[in-house]
Amino acid sequence: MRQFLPSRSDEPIYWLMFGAGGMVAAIALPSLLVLLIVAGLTAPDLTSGMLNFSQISGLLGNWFLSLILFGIVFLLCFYSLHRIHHSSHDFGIHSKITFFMCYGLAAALAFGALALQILIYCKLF
Amino acid sequence: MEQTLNNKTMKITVQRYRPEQDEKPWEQTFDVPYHNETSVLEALFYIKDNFEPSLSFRWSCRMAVCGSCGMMVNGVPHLACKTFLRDYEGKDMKIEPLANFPIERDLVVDLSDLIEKIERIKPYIIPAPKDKNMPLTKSFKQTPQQMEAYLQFAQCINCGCCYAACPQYKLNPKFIGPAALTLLYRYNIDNRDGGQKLRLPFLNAEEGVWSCTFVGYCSEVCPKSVDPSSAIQLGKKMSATDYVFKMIKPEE
Repeated sequence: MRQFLPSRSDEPIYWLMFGAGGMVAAIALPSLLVLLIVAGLTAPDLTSGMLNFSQISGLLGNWFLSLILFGIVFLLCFYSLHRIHHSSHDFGIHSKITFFMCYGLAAALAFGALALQILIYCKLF
Repeated sequence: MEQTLNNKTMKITVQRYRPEQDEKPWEQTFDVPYHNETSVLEALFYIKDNFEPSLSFRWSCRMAVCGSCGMMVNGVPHLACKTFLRDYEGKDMKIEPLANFPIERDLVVDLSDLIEKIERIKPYIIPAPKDKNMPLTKSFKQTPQQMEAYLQFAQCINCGCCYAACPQYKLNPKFIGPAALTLLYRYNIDNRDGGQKLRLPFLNAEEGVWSCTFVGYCSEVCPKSVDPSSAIQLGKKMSATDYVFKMIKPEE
């Protein structure tokens, strides 16, 4: 029987990020949320308490911590928008546009956050 | 038989389609007497014997081994021989042919797409080049652990229930689908097999494992408890690993 071999899908890239993002969402996100809520309860405004500006800019001034936070944000963005991309297929939208919209938005959000982090790290604002 | 029926009857609606007479499928309802052990298949026999001799349906073994009698019972894919009327007591029953397949006649569907896909992924042991000239007096060795790894996935009887359940197959009939991908994975992890390279292209393709979104309904309806969705997830792992390795070290 004559057969032509189908071409390889690039889905593993997105699926691996989705898998990693799922782990982050299950493990890192809840602890981050608890920390942020507890810190937020101590902060009546942005000048005092644990969430004041100098505290946060000090945290992000540490490049190692900044890198970990970027990793978390990056994976969470791709994780959630991967889900939306595949759900849109289930809802009957099969065009390539959702692919570019979803992963484009994920990249924009993640690298936007990175840009802010770099600005803070370089003490530019 | 009549004495043991306990006077219980169930209203069973069967979808009919006779291609030479009917424009489109229609429904016919029967009152079928039943007892504790009546299966859906036996109810269909009763209908064929007593009400409607022209009713067509596939069946063979009556014991969930052959995989011929897959059909939709109240919208859920089931083997008719393994589904009992007692579990639907007090309800009406609606029997339709397997979803997502073209109907040939009444409850008979055309499974040729499933058969072609199973054929495509080479579901047989292909000896590795080093084993090609193994004398017939020697046998392949396999530990119980090595058998355990694939045994569950080898229980498939090709009934098509998972294809009727799969929303992704419904959206895209090119999707190789749960049963064929499970068999592909089953042979790829068999230690006696050397044909992984021949099967991987089908696994790696968009219409291979990557069309699956892990709905998991296939595993829920499988009458042989094969768990195709787990085989597909493991297949995704296999495909992703292969992808990364090929990125680092491309062939040729």
